[in-house]
Amino acid sequence: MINRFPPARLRACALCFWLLLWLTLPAYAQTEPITDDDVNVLANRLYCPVCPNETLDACRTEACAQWREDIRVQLQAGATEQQVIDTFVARFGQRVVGNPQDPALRALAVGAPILLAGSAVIVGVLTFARWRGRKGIETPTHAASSVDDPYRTQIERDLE
Amino acid sequence: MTDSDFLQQIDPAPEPIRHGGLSVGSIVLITGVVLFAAVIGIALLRQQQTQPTSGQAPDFTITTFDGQPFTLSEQRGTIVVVNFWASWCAPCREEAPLLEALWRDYQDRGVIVVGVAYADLDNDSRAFIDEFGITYPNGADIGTTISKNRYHILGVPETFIIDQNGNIRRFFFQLLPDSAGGDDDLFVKIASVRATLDILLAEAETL
Amino acid sequence: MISEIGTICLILAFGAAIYAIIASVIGVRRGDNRLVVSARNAGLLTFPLLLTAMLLLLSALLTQQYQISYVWQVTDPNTPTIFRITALWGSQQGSLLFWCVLMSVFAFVALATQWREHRRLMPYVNAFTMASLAFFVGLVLFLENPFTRIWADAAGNPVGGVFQPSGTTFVSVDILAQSARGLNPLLRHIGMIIHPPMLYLGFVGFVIPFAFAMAALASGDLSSNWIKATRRWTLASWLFLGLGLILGGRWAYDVLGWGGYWGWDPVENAAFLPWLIGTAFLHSVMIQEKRGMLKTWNMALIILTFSAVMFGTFATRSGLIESVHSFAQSEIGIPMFVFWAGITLTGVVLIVYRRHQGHLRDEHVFAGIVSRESMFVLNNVIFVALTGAIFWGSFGAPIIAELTTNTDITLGAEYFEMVTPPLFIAMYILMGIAPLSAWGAMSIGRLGRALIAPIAITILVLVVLFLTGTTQAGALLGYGVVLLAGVVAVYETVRGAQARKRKHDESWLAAFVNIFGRNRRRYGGFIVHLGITVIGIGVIGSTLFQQETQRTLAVGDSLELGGYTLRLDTVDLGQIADDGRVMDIANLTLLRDGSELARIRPRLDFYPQAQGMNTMTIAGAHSTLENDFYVLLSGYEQTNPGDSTTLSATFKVYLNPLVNLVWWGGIILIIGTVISTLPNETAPARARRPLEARAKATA
Repeated sequence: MINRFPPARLRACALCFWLLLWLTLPAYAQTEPITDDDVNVLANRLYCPVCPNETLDACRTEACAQWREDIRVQLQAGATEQQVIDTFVARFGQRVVGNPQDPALRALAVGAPILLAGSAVIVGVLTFARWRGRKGIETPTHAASSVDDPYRTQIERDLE
Repeated sequence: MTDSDFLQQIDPAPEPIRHGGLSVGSIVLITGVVLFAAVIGIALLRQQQTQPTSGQAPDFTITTFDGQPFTLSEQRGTIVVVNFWASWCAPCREEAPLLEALWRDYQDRGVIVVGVAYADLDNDSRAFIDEFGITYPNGADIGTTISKNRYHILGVPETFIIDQNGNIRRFFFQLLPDSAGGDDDLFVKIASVRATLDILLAEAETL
Repeated sequence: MISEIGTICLILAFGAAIYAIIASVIGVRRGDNRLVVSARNAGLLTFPLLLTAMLLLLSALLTQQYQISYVWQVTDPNTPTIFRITALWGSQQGSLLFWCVLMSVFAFVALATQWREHRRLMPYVNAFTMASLAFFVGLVLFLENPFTRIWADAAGNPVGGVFQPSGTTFVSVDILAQSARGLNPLLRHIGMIIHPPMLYLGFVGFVIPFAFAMAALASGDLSSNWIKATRRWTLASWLFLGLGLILGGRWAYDVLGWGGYWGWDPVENAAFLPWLIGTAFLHSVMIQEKRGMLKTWNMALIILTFSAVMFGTFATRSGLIESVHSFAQSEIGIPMFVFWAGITLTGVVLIVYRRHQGHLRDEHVFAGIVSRESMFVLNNVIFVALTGAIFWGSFGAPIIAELTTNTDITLGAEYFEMVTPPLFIAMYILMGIAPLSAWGAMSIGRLGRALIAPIAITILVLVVLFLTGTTQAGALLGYGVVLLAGVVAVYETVRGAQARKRKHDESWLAAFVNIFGRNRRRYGGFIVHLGITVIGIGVIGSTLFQQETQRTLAVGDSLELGGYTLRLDTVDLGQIADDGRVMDIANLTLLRDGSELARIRPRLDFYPQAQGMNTMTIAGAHSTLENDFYVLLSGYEQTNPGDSTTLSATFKVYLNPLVNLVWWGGIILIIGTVISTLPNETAPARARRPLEARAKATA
């Protein structure tokens, strides 16, 4: 009698095999060299800690070249983009990212304009409502001409 | 005004209506503008703060690369040479052997040299320390709070000499004059670090 | 000699400005015409005095007088002549003096040409202009004097002073020449020859409209006289400021080498803010001229514009926020802050005072939500919102964060590209709809009917874009609103010419020429809108569709980007140029589908004697209307010197679609603004001839 694995167990083993294979895939990703472009995607989002207002990929100093190398090393070791950013923020402060990571600061940065816009819209709506309620609406002018002022059209006609 | 202007001018506005005091809106507006200007003014004053050159040295605590804590205020009774550096800073490479030599000569005379790594990643800092065989304590300024917020440094290297009572006595901007690349300015002669230390130590002995 | 005379000129100019203020105010209060005229003369006098001072400094730069510390700071014996001239505005002291000269020029022109026509306002205009001038001349004279000289004290240390301090000796020019600093390499480019003067013309030009507005508030003459007087000033300043911004972008693109033209840097934004408010002001005053409305808005807008100008120059020169553009930390920060706060508060208080008195009431009522007046109010709101958002990102949030939590934050492109597009989209939509609206109320139906043709044309173009590959929703939305504004501008112009052609039976060409002649403001404005549309298309294309890559190539290798191939042919190392810089030039060939398109030569320039930043990365590019293929030489390595086969060079390559439309749009903008400023032809020439013939016949 041929000894066969029951189909269920065979499937389970196959699953285990594939699972193991998938788990090792990140290790394969590490052996692929990190290109300059991969580093630059991240360097574009980070700011040079010591130069005023320059992104890490535009900055030409030795220091920035060293930090781009550090990014490459970290990416090679398998860190995700967010992890690299977090390392930089932890070491150099919030100023190295274009939009603060800290939620309170982010609320300050992005929240304030939104609040202002909201209140401006409310003020605008209230103002228009007030105008509607005020004196009657003037009758719409008849002019559909492309010249602004009806008086001017009249005068121009007279002058010709 | 010219005649044509007179003829062209729009009919003057209707009789102005006089109210009592200023409206609430106006008061809010003027207060708002004043507050706004005040905030900008305060920001300007804070931004203009420069390196402290006298008085009590701002305290700080760092963890050295060997894992030991180092607190400035615990060093009373010793002269402290605080040197802000970074691995990516070219002049710091020239200073490093000098500071190490200084440390070896003065460590038994009551002077401690401590390096604070500004805006530097640990592996880069350690590589720098190994390259120059530095033995005095060094630690990283995490988040650049010590360098920027307390000592207001403009860049590296900058060195502060703090006496036994915790007061700042000398401040060296950029490269130490003892180094080969020394003087950036035209005619200025700056007393060297060693000379300063000798003076401070002599002062302590006379007390 | 130069130092002494120069300083005396500054002292006299300062005195004249102060006298002009006092005499104007007293003269108007007392009704004493002689004092007022005397104040006018003092104001006129400031221009020749300051011009003399500037020319003296220029001569010192050209004749290499290194005892003058400004000359020592910004030039050295190797500086070429053209950069000796531009060094005049290369650093703080010289650029402040240049600013003063420009302000005195504008004051001179205003006082000379507009005195009779606006006799009631001019004394006040004089006072306010001279107040600004006195402040800046005072700054130059007392804090940042370009005529300060270098002396040596007994110990050999350098001492500064205009006149020789006691106990010091003369320092030989030759010794100073050896250590002279020279112009920052970043500034040695043609862009730097025009960019600062344009910006300063724009900034300083707004003094005159501001002075007129304050004069109106102070004198009580709150009709539209002040607006009529300042229309051309506002347009010219707005144009120069816009040009200055575009040139700055072009210079950054060509010289700074990071593939872009706008970095949302705080100082760039500080120059952008007055342009934005100025645009709102430009439009809003039309309402006051035609319908006598929005008086408070207009006052507020011009004061806000000038306040933004002062804030911008204050932030740049004091280093309030870190920026690549900042001058070194200086002591003029606090005086400039006081001046900025002072004029802003004075303006606000005056507006509140006059409004409280009832002088700034509207002469007509708002006819309805869908009317041209409302559109202009919405326009004002959008521009003020843009200004607020950009100010918040560059200054507001970082300052508040630093004050409250002691942390430095950066709000960069990420932030601005999130916050500003909705507002820009609203702006373009308004640009498309507003020209079709009418004064007074208008039904939405009528507005909709007017829009049918332009929207149809826009949709047609969008369909073409979609079919040729542009499928992203965001891009289509952006292109759509931008195109609508441009289509409406062109459409209205064509309709105007069509109406005229029908009436007078002229050819198309004559019709176009004539409508531009008869209503320069309106049709010039349409050209400006067209220019803004073209710029908008360029910005969308180069921002959304930019591609980049970085590769290290050996000689003979190629890389691919966006369908193009770039091949490294040779690298010329160590080439020495006329001014002593050392250049490393890479020679590359650009190919597409196998055929050679162009040679591209990016290079690295090294300035051996310069302080600080002494390497420049100059890009090489192949520019077409379709895109820019833009290459930077980041670095190179040669393991065996002299053997080119061991050479490898790293290149950063960008493909920027449609970026040249930004510059072309700028040119269209200039043309449109110039047309708008020219006066209209009054009566048609033909109509005058029958009258002349009749006059001759009866004579």
